[in-house]
Amino acid sequence: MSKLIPVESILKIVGEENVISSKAHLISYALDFRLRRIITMIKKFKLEDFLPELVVMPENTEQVSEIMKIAYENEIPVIPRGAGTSLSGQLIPVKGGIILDFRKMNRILELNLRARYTVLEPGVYYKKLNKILTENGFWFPPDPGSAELCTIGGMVANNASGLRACKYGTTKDYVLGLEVVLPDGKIIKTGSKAQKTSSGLNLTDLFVGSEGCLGIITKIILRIVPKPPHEITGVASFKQFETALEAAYKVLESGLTPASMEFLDMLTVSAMNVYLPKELKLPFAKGTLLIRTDGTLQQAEEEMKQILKICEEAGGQTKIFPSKDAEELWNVRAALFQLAERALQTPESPKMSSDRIMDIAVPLDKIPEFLSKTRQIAKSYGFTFGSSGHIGDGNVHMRFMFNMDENGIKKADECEKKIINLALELGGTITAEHGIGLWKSSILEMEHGNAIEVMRKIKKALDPKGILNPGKMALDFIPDVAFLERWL
Amino acid sequence: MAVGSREYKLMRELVSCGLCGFCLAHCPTFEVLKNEAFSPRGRMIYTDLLLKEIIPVEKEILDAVFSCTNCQTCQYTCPTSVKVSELIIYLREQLSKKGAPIPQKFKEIVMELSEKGRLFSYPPDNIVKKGNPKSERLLFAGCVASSQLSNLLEITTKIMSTVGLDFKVFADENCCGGFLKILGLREEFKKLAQKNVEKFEEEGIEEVITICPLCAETLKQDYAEVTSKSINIKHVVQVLCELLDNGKLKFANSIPIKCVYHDPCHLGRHMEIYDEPRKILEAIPGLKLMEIEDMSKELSFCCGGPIREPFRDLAWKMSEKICEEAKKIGANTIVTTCPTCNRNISFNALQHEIKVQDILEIVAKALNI
Repeated sequence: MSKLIPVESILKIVGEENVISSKAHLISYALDFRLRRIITMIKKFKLEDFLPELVVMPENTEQVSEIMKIAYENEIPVIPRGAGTSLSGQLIPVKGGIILDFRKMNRILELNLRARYTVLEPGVYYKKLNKILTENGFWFPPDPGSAELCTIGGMVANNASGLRACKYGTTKDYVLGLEVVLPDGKIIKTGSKAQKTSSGLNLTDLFVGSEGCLGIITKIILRIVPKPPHEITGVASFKQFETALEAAYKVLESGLTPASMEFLDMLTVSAMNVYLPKELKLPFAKGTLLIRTDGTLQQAEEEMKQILKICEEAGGQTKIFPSKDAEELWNVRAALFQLAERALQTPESPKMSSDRIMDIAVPLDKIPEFLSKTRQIAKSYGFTFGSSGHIGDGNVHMRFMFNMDENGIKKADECEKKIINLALELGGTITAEHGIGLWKSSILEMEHGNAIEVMRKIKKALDPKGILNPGKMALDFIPDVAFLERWL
Repeated sequence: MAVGSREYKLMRELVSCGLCGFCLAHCPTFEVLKNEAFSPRGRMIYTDLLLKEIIPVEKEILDAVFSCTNCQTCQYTCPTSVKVSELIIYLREQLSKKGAPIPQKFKEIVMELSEKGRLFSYPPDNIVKKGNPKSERLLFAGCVASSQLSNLLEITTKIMSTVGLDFKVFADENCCGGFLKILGLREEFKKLAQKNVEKFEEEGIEEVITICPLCAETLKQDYAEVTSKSINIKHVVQVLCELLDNGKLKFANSIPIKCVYHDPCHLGRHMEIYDEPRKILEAIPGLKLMEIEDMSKELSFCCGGPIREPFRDLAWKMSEKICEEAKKIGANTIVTTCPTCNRNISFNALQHEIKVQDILEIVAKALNI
């Protein structure tokens, strides 16, 4: 726990209506899906050790700055929070402190279509922004699975991406500049409203994806692009998983540029079919490609036609979905994480999922080798898993479930580490889009080795008192709960 | 906990929730308070931790648990339809078994229900007298329409008489018990339901028409717990729609209002009745029906009526949002089909210079009765 928080001073800054101090209510800010399971099943971890001490909802940058000055002086941890949809434990308070909840800083301050940028506060919902942009013929294309709820601030802080990354890139490709409050309350601006810059060190990119560990993002200048007027969705089903991947490579090598190209294995298709209406159910096949093209109607149709032709030549059965149905199909695809929980959990033995390997990425050409070897590794431990992913960018989503007993935890720890080593040997990364947060902090060193020291020096330089989101990204310390072997 | 039992099924719902937060997107109490404790995700955390006795029962947690209106928006927005509302009711049941206190205002309502078998007053005599004692069709008045909004009963009886539907009204009508069920007082609910079922049998009732959506839902979906006899249950808006379809409702008068239709939670999300009221309104000459984007049909924003007594400020802000959004799109009237919504939104409507009317009132004017 931190030093005593001067609540009265904070109340003077933001007003009573913007502060939550009830311990009972703070419980609802403590847990994510993983920690909830840990504290209900492993006695050595106590809820009390993960409680924030205060939630504050600032309404402007000046308030954030004033709060940070107090936090800095009193060495109080501060955790910035958007909609609470992160998947790697980014928001879990491991040293108490203040949660800065940005839902009330939710204004779009400027929208300049001719100059192709918008300036907004971090609490703006992704969905709201894209609704307004779409009305004007523009959009912000990265589309994470949490698109229904997530905020732009959260997306920037985690460098989120999603199903359209293969054509449109990730959040960082759209951030032109930021306003950031540093731990001592100083306000800095990075980048500009221009479409490009080579001025000085790229501080914008430093803060994007820094998970609230380096500074508090209070304004975002976001590049926006014209929205393609039409999208077409198609599916290709293959008798073998490997054939599906091979067809996908042929599509990519042909020079075609699908907006999304997802691969789904049979388990994943089964899980999706439970939630799809009869007319949308996917054929039960070992390998499936879910494809989206966009552009003018003619462009989207022509590109889809060519892609499906390649798939058919590779032995795939193909189908095009009407646009009204396609949205539902993509929504179910985006909810695979929730679908897996639904399909695999039982009250008598709730299981833990292998979240440390949930969003590995490998070089595009290594996906078949990675998946094949990963299956063998998992099988040797008695685990089976479903896999899917964004083949256009090498991002593989997979999960197995393990029992929360000694044997289950030991096996899962070993198995996850073998899979991580494999991904790294193949030239990959441990996280393509979910970030490190708390849950992957114990494995970050496996990927970065002594480069972590450089990261820690940057952290120390910007946050000398270590008050910003402590215990995350292995930048200061790694909490016990992040190590599977310490659950025993 | 036997596999397949109600408890097992509900625990499966609980363990399936990944705390992803999609349920927050349209939760009315979270929308107003911006406090996770008053969100479905927060309430799922409390449910898990309270049932496992990891946290103690405290007033502030009980406030979060009992401020859920049971509107079920969370279940609609959950990608895997986790039964959040049912779990909250189950939690309330378990808390009640352990003697945990419920908010004082709810307690007073429960006491009144226990003493009288209903809230407020009994159906007015003049309405009861209009009925045919031999009829097998019961007009179930409901607590609110019997007292504060008895004009709705009056209109219903006039319409039914005009189109030749006979009915009876019980002078000693009991509450349907739906509110007790929502509060987690399952045994008390069953007792009341049993009484009603016995009375229906005694009186030879084959069909029940209700004015209140909660009554309709409770009688239709929850009475299966106490009886195997199937009775035809309809909300009055379904009856009106059937009459319209059969050409028996002919709207003579123009009603020149710009209105939004507020879908009551228990008629909409709970019973999936969205089209019938709209069809009726669209058939009325001169009436312009508008929709509030992201706040109608499945995403209808709960008015806060069910929690108004113990959480007045919260319920006020919830209904205020409905009035504000209706005004924003240029509506001058909010039409609903629920006496509780009607009353609760009315408290707020005056200052927003917007009217609240039940669909029955509009239909009566259009029919010139």
